[in-house]
Amino acid sequence: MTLANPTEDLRWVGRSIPRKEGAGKTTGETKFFSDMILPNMLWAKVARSKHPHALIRRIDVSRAESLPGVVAVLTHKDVTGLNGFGIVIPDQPVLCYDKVRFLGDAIAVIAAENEEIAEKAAQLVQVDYEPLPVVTDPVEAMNPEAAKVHAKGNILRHETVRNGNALEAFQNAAVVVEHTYCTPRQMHMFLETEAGIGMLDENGNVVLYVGGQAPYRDQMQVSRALGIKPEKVRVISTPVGGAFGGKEENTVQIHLAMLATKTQRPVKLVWTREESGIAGIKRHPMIITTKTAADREGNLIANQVKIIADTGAYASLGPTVLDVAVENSCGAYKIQNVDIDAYLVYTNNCVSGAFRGFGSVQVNFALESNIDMIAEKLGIDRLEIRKKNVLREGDIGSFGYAIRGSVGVYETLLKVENSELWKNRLKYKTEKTAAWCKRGIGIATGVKGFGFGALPDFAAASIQITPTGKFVIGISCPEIGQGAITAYTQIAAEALHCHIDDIYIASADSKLAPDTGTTSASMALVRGGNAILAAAPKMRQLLLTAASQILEEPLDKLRIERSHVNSLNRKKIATLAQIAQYLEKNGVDTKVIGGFNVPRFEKPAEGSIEIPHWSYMYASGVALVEINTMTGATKVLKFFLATDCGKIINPQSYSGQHEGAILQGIGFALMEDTIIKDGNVLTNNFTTYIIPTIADMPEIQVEPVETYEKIGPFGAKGLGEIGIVAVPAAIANAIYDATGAHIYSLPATPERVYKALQNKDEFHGS
Amino acid sequence: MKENHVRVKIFGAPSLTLESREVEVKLGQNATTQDLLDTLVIENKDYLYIVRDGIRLTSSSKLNDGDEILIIPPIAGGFCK
Repeated sequence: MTLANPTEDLRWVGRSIPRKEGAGKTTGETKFFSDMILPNMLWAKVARSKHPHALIRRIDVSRAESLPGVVAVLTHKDVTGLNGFGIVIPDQPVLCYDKVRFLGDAIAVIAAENEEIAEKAAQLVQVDYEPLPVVTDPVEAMNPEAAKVHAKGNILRHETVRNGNALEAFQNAAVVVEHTYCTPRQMHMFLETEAGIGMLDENGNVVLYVGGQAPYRDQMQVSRALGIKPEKVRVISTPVGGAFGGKEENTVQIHLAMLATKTQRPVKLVWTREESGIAGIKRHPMIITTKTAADREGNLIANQVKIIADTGAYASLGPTVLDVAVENSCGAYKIQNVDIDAYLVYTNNCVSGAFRGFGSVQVNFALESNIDMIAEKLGIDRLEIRKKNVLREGDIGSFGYAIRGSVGVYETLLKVENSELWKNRLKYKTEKTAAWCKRGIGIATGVKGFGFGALPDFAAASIQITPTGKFVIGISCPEIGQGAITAYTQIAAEALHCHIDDIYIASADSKLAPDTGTTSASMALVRGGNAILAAAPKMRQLLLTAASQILEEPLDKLRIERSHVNSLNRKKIATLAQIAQYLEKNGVDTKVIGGFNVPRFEKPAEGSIEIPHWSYMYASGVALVEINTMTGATKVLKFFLATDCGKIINPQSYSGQHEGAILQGIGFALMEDTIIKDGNVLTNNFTTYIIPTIADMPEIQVEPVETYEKIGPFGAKGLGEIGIVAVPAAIANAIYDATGAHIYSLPATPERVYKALQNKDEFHGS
Repeated sequence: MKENHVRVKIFGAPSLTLESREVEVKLGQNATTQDLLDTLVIENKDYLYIVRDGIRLTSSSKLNDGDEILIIPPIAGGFCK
C-alpha cells in the first residue's frame, strides 16, 4: 500500500478549513431557489397522471385555461424539441401524449399568477384514460405475457459478465452458501424538494436557477427538449438543498424552460413533498440471489449472482446503476470465478435512478451476509476471513483486471481490528441491559469505484485573476453539501501559493464555468481538483511573465508569494492586483483553462457498460446493535467506520460526509422503504416515510486510511458514497450476532426482525 | 475522390445494441461529424457527445483521415482542453 506522504509540505490541503458556505447554511441566511421570489413571477404546477398505467385517449385543458389568473397551460403539443428526457436513454416524456406509465407522469404544466390558482388549474386538466393492467412486481414484469410498460418489452437491460469457471469452482468448494436478498426503494428525502425558477434574459435566452448536480447535463436535456442550441440555455445549479443523486436527472428544468419561454416571465416551480415522493427518483429495489463458495481455508473461490433491479417506469440512470451493482457484487475481494447475471426491469412503479452508493449498497448487503455465513460454517473469525480475501495493491480483481489505483482495504480491516469497539466487542455484547434485549456486533467490508469507469470522461476548470488580485475559479460541479467548494479552495490556494481568502469559487453556472462534468460518482473532487491543478501552472506562468515585464527581471528570478510576485532578493515587488491591471491594460486574457482526462481502461469488460473502474474507495465498518426481542425494534448503539478515500483534503468534511452516510445507511437498513401498492405510493411524506432522526444517531467513530491515489489531486480519491456501502450489511450481520436470526430483506423493521426471531433460519423474504 | 478513414469507438448506452463497439468508417474528403453519425445505426444520435483528442465536436466539425472519434453518452465527459 502506498501511503499519502504526511510530511509533505502542504499549507492548506489536509486541514479542517471551515466550510466556505457553512455559516450561511447553518444560520439560514442562504437563500435556496425555492426561497426566491422575483418581481412579476408566475407559479407553476404540474398536472400528473391519475393512473399508474393507461392509454391517453384525450387531453382537454380548456377548463384550466379559462380559470382567471392562469397565464399558460402547456401540453405535449408545446414540446418543440424531443419529447423525452433521461441522461442515459431519453425514454421519459416531457409531457405525455399517448400513454402514462406511472403516477408521476406529467400531462400538462401550468403557469398562473399565484400557487393556488396554478394548483386549481392543474386539477381542471381533463384526461380520458383507458386503464391498462398495472405491473408492479419486477419478477412478474419479466414474464413475456406481462403487460408491456414500453413497447419493446419490460426487460430494459440484461447484463452478463463472467470470469473464470464458476461452475467448476462450486463443484470443488468446501462450502457453498446461497440466499436471496431483497432491498428497499429508498427515497433521498432531501430537505429542499425539486425546485427552481426559469426566466429569459435580455437576449431571450433561457436562464434556469435550479438546484441540481449537473448544469451542463441539464443544459443539454433542456436544449434537446426545446429544440434550441445549448448556448441558448444557462443553468445555475447552486445552492442545492440536498441531492444524494436524486437531482442528477432532469426534474423541473424542462418544464420551467418551456413556461418561461411561453410566458416571457419568471416562473417558479416547487414540487410538494408528496409530489417528490411520487415523481422523484428513488434507489433501485433489487432482488439479489448470491451463491458464494470457499475452500477449506476460507479462500473465496466463486461467486454467482443474479440481480433483478426495478427501474420503475423509465430508465433514468438505471443501466449504469445496474452496471455498478454487477461490478460490486463480488465486493472488495479477489474471487477468480464469477458469473453475474443482471436484469433491469420496467414496471409501473416510481422511477429509480442515482442514489449515493449507486447499486453497490444493495449487492454489498447480499455478499457480506454470505461471507459471514461461510465464516461460521468453516469456523473462521469474521474479521480474519475478510483479511484473508481482500484485494491488495496490484491484485487482479474479480473481473480479470489488475487494480490500478491505491488499495487500502486490508488496512481498513486493521483499523477495525484495533478499534475500541471491536477489541471490546464481548464486553459490549454482554453489558447489562433489559432482560428482553440482546446485543450483537456485525462487520462488513465495502468497495465502490469513483468516476465513470471505462467511459471516457473529461473535466475542465478555469482560473481568472481579478483587478483586485484575487482568483476566481470556474468549476461547473455543484456543491451539494459535501464540502466541494471548500476543498476546491484549499487545492487552488495550494496550487497558486496564495491564501484561501484570495480564492473565490464560481461554481455550477454554465455561463461562468467550463464543463467540469457532474457532481456524481464520488468524482467532483477528483475532476475539479485535477482540472484546477492543470490550470494553476498556466496562471502562475501568466503572472510571472507579466511580473517579469513590469519589474524588468528574468522569470527565473521571480516567485509568487501570497498576494504579490517578489524578486528573489526581495528588492522588487509587484502586487497581484498590479499584475492583473497590467494584463488587462495590455489586452491579455486574464483567464486560463486547465483540462483533465480521467484515466480509464481502454475497453469495458465484455457485456458491461463501464466495468472496471480505474480506482476504488474502500470501507470496513462495525456495528453494535441492540434488539428488543419483544418488539423486534433494532437500535444501532455504536458504529465504527474506516475508509480508504486516499489523501484527505479536509478532515472535517471527511468526518461529516461519513457520519451522514452512516445515518443514511441506518435508514436503509432499518426503516426506509417507499411502499407502493398497485402503483400508488403509500409513503410519500415524512409522516409515513420514516427516516432516522437525531434520536437514531449512534455513537460514531470514523478513521481514514490515507493511501496515495496517483490519479487524485494530492493523492485524494472521492469519498461521497463509500461511507454508506458497508453500513446495512454490518447492521444485518449484527442482528444475526445478537439473535441468531438472519435478515434477508431490508429494511429490518421491527415486524421483520420479530418474524425472523420467531422463525430463525426458516425466515426468508418479506 | 480521396477517402477519409475514421476509427470510431462507441461507449455506454449507444453501444449496447451494436455488435462491435469499435468500427472503422470510410467518409468523403470533406466529411463532418454529422456525416459520420448518419452512417451509424444508433438511437438518439443527435444528443451524443462526439470527442476527438479530448475536444467535443459539433455536428459541422470537419473530420480528418486517421481521426479517432469517441462517441459517448451525455452522462460522461466534460470539456477537456
